[in-house]
Amino acid sequence: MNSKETEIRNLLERFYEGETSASDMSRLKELFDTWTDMPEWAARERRAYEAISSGCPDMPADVASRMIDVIDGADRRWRRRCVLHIAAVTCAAAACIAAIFIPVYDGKVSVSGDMGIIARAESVADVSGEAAARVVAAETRTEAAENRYVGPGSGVEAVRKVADDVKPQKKAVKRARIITDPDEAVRFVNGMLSDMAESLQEGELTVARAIEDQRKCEETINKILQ
Amino acid sequence: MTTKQFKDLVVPEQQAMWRVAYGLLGDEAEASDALQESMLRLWNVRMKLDGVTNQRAYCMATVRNVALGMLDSGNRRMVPIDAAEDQASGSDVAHELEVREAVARVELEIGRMPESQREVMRMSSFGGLSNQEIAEATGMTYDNVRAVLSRGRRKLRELLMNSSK
Repeated sequence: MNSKETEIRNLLERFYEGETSASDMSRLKELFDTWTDMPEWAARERRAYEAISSGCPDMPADVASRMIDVIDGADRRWRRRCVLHIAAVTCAAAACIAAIFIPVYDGKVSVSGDMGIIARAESVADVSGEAAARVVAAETRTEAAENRYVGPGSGVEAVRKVADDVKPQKKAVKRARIITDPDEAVRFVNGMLSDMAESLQEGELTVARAIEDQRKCEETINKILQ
Repeated sequence: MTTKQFKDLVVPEQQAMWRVAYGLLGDEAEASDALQESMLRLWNVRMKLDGVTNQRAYCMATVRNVALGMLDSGNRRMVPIDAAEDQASGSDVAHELEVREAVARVELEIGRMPESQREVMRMSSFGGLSNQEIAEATGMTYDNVRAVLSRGRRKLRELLMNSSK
């Protein structure tokens, strides 16, 4: 038995033991390909070996670039979804704040207080400050309020003074306050804008949490699918 | 994990992943489709990949699952005729024909094997994967893969030897 035959037999034995590496199999193929005048037993072994280890072709060259395109496309879609999330939350936050802010701002800004009392007092304030005071007093049921204000002054001013001075008897009636000072109104609006900025920041955090929740949902789905 | 880090992870593994897919599916186009689907699945879980110890094995297992899913949904297996033609590229036409016929018999016999053995044999015979790569893709141990391959190859050899007498 020559050395080539010995080497082939050894490699075949290892192949059928499941122990050959890629280089072993390449060597075995090379030995078979270069063996002239191969005996019958070797020819049969070669056919069996080549059929069992037929291998696979190389990956087509265009597949690699196609996979890069797939990844880039997925990246673009993910970024677009993030932008849409943030835009949607920002618009929703702005719409909510506008819905609250616009109706209450009509030249005079009210903060807390019993809107009903203030509204009814204002309806007569332009006619008579005294009447306005009586309205507030009647609503808050304090006789002291009825006598508190008598005198000149704008109806609005009258309501303001009475509202500030009257101590409501019912717990439900809160202290009323009408802002008529422009500087104070500006400060109040600045405060509202700060609140809106905070809300937008919270909105961004909400978006981040929403994205994280979405990622967790996708993980769970992938686990189930796998 | 950034997009660049993700690419640095998966791009070097593409060849091995493609061989896993081809080994199981036996068709270049389907193997490419399986690879693409695997890339998307890995992309969707990229944030989790940082915590995976053996990221290569995770990639191989992913493409294996995708290919098996395609097999289950289509319930068919393509004969790797291309591989047989490439393998039997010698000048001996008779030898080429014999090998091609033998490959078809091997394919048929592997299809009759138990599922776990069938998968290992396909990855080895038609995917050209090493024992280590098969272990990573299937989650089996190296020794287990070696033992399965040994039994499968000996059985196929006996079949082919008996048929050639």
